[in-house]
Amino acid sequence: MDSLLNESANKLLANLCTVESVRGVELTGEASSMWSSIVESGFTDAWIDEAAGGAGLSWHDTFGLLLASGRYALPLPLGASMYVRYLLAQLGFPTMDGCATFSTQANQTENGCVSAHAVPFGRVADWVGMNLDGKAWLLPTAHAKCEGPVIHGSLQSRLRWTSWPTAAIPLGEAKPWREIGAVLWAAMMAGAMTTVLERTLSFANDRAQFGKSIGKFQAIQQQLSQMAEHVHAVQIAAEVAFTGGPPTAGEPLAALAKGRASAAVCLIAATAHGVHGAIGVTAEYPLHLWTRRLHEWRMDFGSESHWQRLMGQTLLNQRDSSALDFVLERLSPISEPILKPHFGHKN
Amino acid sequence: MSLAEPQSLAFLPSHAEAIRQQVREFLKEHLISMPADQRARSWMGFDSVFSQAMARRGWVGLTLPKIYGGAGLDPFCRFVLVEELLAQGAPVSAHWIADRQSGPLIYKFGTEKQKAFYLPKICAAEAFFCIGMSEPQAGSDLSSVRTRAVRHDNGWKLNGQKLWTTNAQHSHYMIALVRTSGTADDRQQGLSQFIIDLRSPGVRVRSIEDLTGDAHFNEVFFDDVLLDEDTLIGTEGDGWHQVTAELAFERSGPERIYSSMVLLDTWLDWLRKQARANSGVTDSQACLAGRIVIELASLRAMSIATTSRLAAGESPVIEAALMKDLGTQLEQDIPAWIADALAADDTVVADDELLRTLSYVTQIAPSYSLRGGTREILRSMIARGLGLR
Repeated sequence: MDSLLNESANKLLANLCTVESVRGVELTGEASSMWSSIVESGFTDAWIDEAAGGAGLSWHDTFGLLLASGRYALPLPLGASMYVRYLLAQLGFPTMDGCATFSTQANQTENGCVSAHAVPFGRVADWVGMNLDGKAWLLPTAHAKCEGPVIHGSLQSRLRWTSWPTAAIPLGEAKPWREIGAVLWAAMMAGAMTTVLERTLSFANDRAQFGKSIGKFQAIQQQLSQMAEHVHAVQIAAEVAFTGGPPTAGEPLAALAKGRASAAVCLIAATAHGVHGAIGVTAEYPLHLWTRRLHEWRMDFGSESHWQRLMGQTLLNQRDSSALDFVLERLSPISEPILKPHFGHKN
Repeated sequence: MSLAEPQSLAFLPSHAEAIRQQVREFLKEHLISMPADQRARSWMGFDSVFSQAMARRGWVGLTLPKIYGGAGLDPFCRFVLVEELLAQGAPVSAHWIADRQSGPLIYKFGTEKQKAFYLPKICAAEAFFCIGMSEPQAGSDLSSVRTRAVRHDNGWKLNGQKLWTTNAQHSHYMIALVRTSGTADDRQQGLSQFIIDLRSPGVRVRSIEDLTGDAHFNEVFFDDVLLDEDTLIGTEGDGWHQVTAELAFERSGPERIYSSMVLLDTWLDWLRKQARANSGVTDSQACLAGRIVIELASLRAMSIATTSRLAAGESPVIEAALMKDLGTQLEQDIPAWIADALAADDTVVADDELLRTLSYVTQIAPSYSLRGGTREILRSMIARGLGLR
């Protein structure tokens, strides 16, 4: 983690993502000025080489930035946009206007119509990266229809293009959107969980019942300790995945990060709400800005079962590998050399 | 820094990784004929010949300085050694407590004379240690110990009883926490630690058989046991502080994630065999294998992060407690999950070695979250670290 970047990212996002501004974006689906502020910061080009005008940072350097985007419930797909801008720079294309998200549930029908289901950040994204017939594409959302499922407060949407958008940008061979998304989302989830833990701890110390703060009761302490354990496990699993650089298709590190993060969501969200009591499920109290996201992000790019199954199959296909061998070879933090995102993924 | 913040990620340095292959070759030679259900005992498996063979390689007292017979290596090297030993189920019980707790305690708090006497014996696997903490009326509430040492001539006279003392029947010495002043009401005040030679007159050890048919716990009785001045370790009255430091050694490291690894690997091998004979693995079997290995990899990364703090001379007590609670949960979940997976299809017949290993681990697993501090005690420590009291 790059500590300078980390510090300035936290400062910027704390200012930009107030509870009011996040709610505003959720209500209106309008986030262009917020996105402009982020682009001005230069974070969006963190992975692009310095020679090409970027910051030339490694994937691991930016872990704290993605963590912060979840911590402040940034209502925009920062990590996904960074990856798409990186791909465009690699191809020598000019960068796009606006922000981009991914879809792993897109398909094209014969008349050129494209449907992408449950697109995370679909209501605010200007572009969507996807694979169609073995090729990667970036489709503009300008003429796409947001078709629901219309979930209160959610930025997710089904998108439908009734004809092929002429501004679509070809990105070459199919990209491992699911694995990239899994790793980025795991960092966002770790950030959101950090906030949920902090808020719940402070609530437990402030709220008094039976003449003392509820955080003094052993029953509450045991639950919060367990919650903290899971938050730590998710934080570290996500960071381990970032040391591996951008994941390729089937990468076990992506399964580690997203599998661990998704598995912790229910316990963490339920404990936070349980400790908060009734106030926690009100619209006014902002706990739901994070817990709603956590439940949604848990499912984006595959829930824990998806990644557990993939991981288990990979492990069981290694004929003579002990569990420790597998962890050492495939699931350990990679210290050297510092990996940069590279183009041309092995599939 | 707040405990909600991520811990700094750490990496095993290459000098530590360098000993892994040597350990693997050594274990290949020594464990070749040991069935899985024996290996599953690992740190309950007592084998002094094995411990002495390890000592000849310099692997007992690894982190102690060379002048005391140690290898002078850092906690990262110990991490690699220990994770290999435990993952493969080496019978480490004989030297285990001396290596991980008593040796570091004597090195930290002992006099030069005590260090020169005990540490070389520990490193040679010639002195085995047990730890006298619990008593009939002092379990999780450790500060209420009643075993008492009183001044006598130029030393001390000890009376009382310890309980649940692992390995006392095989050990040469016990490091005991006893009261040297005040009463049980004085709590953490007035406690001291002594190194007791278990061959002393007045010491009686009675083994307690466990539910698997093994015996590792003991009752130890002290009846007017005379201790000379040199048996006091550290400072009189400072026993509580010393024990806290000792338990920090106990709780960190990879010890707390690998207790069910032999069972896991035995099951994975069986699954692969089944898959070859039949038609692959089911989704739920694959999911379970993946779930376990995801948890394991996360815990291992947490454990390396904690180890790096130890290596930097810090005492990450809360982080160690946090990792231990989560780690022992996985150790206990593994037998429960595997049992369910094995009998999910009641037409499938598992092999005997796998079933014996599963039963042993299932039965002994409750002890994983007892030894070195119960789940509830650890969570109270974490809560304090989180600023909740």
